[in-house]
Amino acid sequence: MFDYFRRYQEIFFPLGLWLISLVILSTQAYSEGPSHPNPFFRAVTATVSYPQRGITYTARGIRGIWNNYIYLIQLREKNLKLQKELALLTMENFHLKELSHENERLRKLVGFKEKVLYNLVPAEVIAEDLSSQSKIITINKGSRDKVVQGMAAVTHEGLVGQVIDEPGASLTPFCASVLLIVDPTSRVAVMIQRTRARGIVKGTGSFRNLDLLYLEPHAYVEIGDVVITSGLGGVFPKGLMVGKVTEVKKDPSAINPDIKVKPGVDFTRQEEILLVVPLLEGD
Amino acid sequence: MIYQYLFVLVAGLVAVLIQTTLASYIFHDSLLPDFLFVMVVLLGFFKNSPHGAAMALLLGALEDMFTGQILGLYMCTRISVYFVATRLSRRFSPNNPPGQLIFALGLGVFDKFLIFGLLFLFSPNWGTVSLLMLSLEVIINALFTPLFYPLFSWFPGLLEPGLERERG
Repeated sequence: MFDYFRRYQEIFFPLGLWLISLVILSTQAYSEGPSHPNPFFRAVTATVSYPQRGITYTARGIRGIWNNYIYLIQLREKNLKLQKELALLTMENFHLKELSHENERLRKLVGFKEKVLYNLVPAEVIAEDLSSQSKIITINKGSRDKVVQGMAAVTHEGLVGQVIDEPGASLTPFCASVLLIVDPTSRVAVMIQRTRARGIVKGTGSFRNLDLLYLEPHAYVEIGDVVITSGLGGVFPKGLMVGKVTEVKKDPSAINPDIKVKPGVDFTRQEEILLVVPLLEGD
Repeated sequence: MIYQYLFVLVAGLVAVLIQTTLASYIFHDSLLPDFLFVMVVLLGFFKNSPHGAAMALLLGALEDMFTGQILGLYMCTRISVYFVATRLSRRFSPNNPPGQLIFALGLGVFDKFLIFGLLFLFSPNWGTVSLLMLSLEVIINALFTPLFYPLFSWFPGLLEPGLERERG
């Protein structure tokens, strides 16, 4: 028997490894609750993040020189600062619009006021996912910088995604993984800013398109409508810009219309992002 | 033997670094080459032994560590690709660049079929994929295979003695 296995080890050994990997795969896929990377995975990810930083910064440096970076370095720094300010103002603007809408609906309730403040922590993108199907980026800030799982990431253009901590996308003390809203596994609770109709935005794997699902059956949606986060689910703060409706296909036999949303953020040119840290009272 | 494992591990890590940092500067964001897949195909050409299978598993585990998909997906697919590559390389010679290209094309299609088949089984909410992008990715990976072949065959001991003669 043993000789038989030894004779055909070229077949049995890969088969055994294949079965082991299949067991790991099915255990991961059907595990109850969220799975987290083990310490070894975290250590490898954190170690590799340093050469990733080196290569990314060097590549950007070379590209920067190519684009007259030397002459524009001060302008770039100022631009980064202004981007942060702009992002804050954009969020504030959305927040004010939200208040205005609420004010309209709740006119009788004099003095109604909602106040949510955020702090924005800038972070640089140092790496992307190995697979082109998966849309996850690695940033140079980690748990050491108080980055936690579920933290929202934005730019001045809108919502980027959220910090995750899973096998293959770890949150380490030195770096963190951000699941982009365009990833096929991403889901964001949203609403149409104009009509307040709620739905879920799902990533398609493409940088240009998002699917708007589960919208109320009789919701009135027009091309150009702004889609914002609804705040439901508790992951993303309410009122963050997600994108604009680009296509509405109504099928009489379907419950929900087929709606495409163009993300507000240009994901192909992502170098810096801002992490949204909610400020508690007294902060 | 330990040097061969080290070579595969270091080469795999270099591939991960290039793929996660520089590839998007050179290629389109939705169209990235998979150097680890190319390495597994070459291992299938070179090593028809349990060590080759273990090295393929190592590369699969490395890919799983840096991909936000289900853990074990790439271990499973890479072992399968390695196994098919070893079986096929006994029947058809992949020693010339056109042969390697055709081999890698076929194995690339098999690899994508496995990846999305497993994703469909284990993660049904995965979503849609662009067939055009996938096809282009398979072609890019296949084009890289003859380029990586000399690098791998250069490393002492990686090409099993006698394997060349068997293929001829």
